[in-house]
Amino acid sequence: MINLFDTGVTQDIPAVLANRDKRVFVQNKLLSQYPSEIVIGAKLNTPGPIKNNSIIEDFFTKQLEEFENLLLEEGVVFFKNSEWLDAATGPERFYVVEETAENVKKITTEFEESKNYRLLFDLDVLFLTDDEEMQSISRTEIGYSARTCLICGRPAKDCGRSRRHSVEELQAKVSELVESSLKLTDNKQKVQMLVNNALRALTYEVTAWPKPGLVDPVEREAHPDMDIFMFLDSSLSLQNYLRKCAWAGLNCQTNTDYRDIFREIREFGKLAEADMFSSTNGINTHKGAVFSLGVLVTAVAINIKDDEQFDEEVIQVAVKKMLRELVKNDYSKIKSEDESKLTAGEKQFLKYGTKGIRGEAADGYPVVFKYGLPIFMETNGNMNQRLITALMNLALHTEDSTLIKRAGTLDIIEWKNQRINEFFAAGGISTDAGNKVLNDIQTEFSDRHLSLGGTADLLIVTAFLGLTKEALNNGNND
Amino acid sequence: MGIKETALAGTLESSDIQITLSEGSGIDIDLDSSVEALYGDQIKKVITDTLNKYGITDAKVKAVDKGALDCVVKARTMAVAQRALGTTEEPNWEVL
Repeated sequence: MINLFDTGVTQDIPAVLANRDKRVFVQNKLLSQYPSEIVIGAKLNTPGPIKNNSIIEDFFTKQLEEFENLLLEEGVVFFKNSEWLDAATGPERFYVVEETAENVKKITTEFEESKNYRLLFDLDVLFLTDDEEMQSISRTEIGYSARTCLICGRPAKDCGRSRRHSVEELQAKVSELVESSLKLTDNKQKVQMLVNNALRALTYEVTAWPKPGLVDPVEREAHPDMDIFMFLDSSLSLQNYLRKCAWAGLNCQTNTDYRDIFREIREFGKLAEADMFSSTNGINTHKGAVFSLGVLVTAVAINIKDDEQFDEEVIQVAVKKMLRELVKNDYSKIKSEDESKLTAGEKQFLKYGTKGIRGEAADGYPVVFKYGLPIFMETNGNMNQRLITALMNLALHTEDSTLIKRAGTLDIIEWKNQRINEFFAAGGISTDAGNKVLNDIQTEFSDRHLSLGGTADLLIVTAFLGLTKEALNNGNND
Repeated sequence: MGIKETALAGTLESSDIQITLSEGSGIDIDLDSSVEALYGDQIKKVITDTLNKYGITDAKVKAVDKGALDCVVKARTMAVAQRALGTTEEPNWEVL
């Protein structure tokens, strides 16, 4: 447990009172500047002589961000006017608001009461009376009960006046409350980071060029029904889904059955597919990515929930535990299904015994972790070169079910591998000779209407893992 | 001893007390407090004692209390006394 009051500059009563005078001066000034508006003065109630430090300031600003979101959702017009966040007397901020005092006080009171740690906030609502006196509106005036004590629940004023609780007892309680909020703030930042990197990966993949058998900004002949804009629309449609996957992973506890986590995200995935199809008018752009990226966002969230270190083994184990019964259950079902309802991967399992993306996923994405990710991390050059090099390596080690489906024969794998090996032998993406081979391969794919759709999904997850690994490494160096 | 000029200290914020001193005879305190029933006498005593230490025995005191602790009542009374006597703006901690 943290002690919030370990650091900071001790404040005496004159310092606190002088700050209070300054606050009232600022509030009066704001109201004379905006006489028909309401002023909100935001501060914290911190017991004892330490009133500020970096943790307190962080808590204050993060929570006020939530408060601003609440004002936005409530339809309130407001702007931040002045603040002193790092003052030793405690962080403070002032808002000017276009709304009735009663409505503002309702919102501030509901905010203060919405989480136990928000009880530490003191949001004063001030307005000018008809005779131009500054006045505040109280909780009781709008039908709420007065503030209660953090420790015993009696009216806060009684405990404050009688000093019923010691400063140490109050500080311990405040530390506990702030710590619980910091965990949530930290998780929100992790979710945001994971969603950002997942969206970067989706949009980077389609932007990389040239890609044989895939849509890129220049060429899309293998997929004439799609273009890059459709892929960008489709990527953005997955934001909510990716956010839910990240949360599901962070909420995974040591005794959680990982299969339940997968069952959870699978339901999110069904909605995500519907969102994707509605953003593309029914074209399948990212169905495979919905599955694989969702699983890996969840697995990385499980990895970093208590730890900032990117750990490939932990991620792979999490994937395997989530998908433990996937291949077994899904493939035992497909033998009894009507063949017209089966996916390309499922039909190929019946025909060739290839387990496709389900097998790769259930094994913890070995091709991604063995080839895609290390190559993406180690390749020198710009982002396009890193992505294309990773893509061609992934393609070399994947029996892409989309490719087999389009070719109608397994023999296509051998041809694909031969051409990719020629690309690397010529020097890869960073050489003219390599580029020439790559362009030729792209033309051959387009002419033969071949696709690397399955490999593209693996590139998306590779890029997601690589970008996240870089983000976490950079964060640790701070 | 009376005072030289009318003076004010403190704010109407919660946990504060706003005190106005004006001319009068004897210490005459008009207290407005939400905790008056419980702490009214204590607040008046702190104000009277503090004024006495500055030698003020004649003044009309208007005090609007918003749940101030004794130390705040004392600090605000010191500030208002010094302003009313035309001495320093800063609380004179040596007096107490």
